[in-house]
Amino acid sequence: MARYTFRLIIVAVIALCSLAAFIVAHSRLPTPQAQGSTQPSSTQIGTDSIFSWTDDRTDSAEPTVVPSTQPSAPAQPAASSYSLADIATHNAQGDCWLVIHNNVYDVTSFIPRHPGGRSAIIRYCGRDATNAFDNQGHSSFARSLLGNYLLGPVSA
Amino acid sequence: MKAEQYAAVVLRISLALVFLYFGISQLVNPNMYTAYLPSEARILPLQSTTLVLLNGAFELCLGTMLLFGLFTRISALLLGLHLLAITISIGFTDIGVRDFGLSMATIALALWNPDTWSLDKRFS
Repeated sequence: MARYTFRLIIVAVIALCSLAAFIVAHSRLPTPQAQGSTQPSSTQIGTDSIFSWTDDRTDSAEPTVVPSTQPSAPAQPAASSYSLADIATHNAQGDCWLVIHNNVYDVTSFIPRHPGGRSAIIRYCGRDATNAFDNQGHSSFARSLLGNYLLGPVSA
Repeated sequence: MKAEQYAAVVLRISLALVFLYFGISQLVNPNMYTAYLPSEARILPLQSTTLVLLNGAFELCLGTMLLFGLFTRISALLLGLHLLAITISIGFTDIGVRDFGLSMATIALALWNPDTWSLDKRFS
């Protein structure tokens, strides 16, 4: 009985430590006021990091679903390079381009299959997702999939 | 000593380290994990980062218990079912299949008697 109680005491200590870790981590969260807008600018182009994303139910602020006439065609054939302004117009779930390492990808058809969920990728539609892609630690397999969605380089 | 005696020890400690890594990682960088929350989580009156932190604290607590072999079967069962729920939420993807294997390994640990290096054994 005493040994069982001893184990219970250790568990209680571990639980309290975990609770303390939660409280400390929660107190470090920025307040919405301090962070400013909780929504990403859908037209913003710039290297963005997933770490700098302000959360708080941003899923509800996902870009509007725009029915596309060619939702999964990986391709707008012609152009040899794409301007940032042009890329920024493809900022919806039904028409999603993003930039990774100065290459443009049409990931519209991949969104439903993204292992990390739709929202993880949708937030970068029309934007530069280089840091987010690298910081997430994608596997070599995931990186190899990118080629299927390549449109071309970003124009200088 | 027979090699089999170490099987459960290796399994328990390595799985515990996996859960501890993700638990601590969620507490340090909750924003990295909010995208993984299922849509059903929206019904809860909590911010998504808070949910991630709670999940991180849960995994930290049970992962530590598993590491030391405290109530091994209970902690392994809870962690295994927890990961199985995540697996179902993720669906049939490469990550989902990997997590399915990890969750089954954790549940297998729950079916095992506590190993010789666990505190359960020491204090039984």
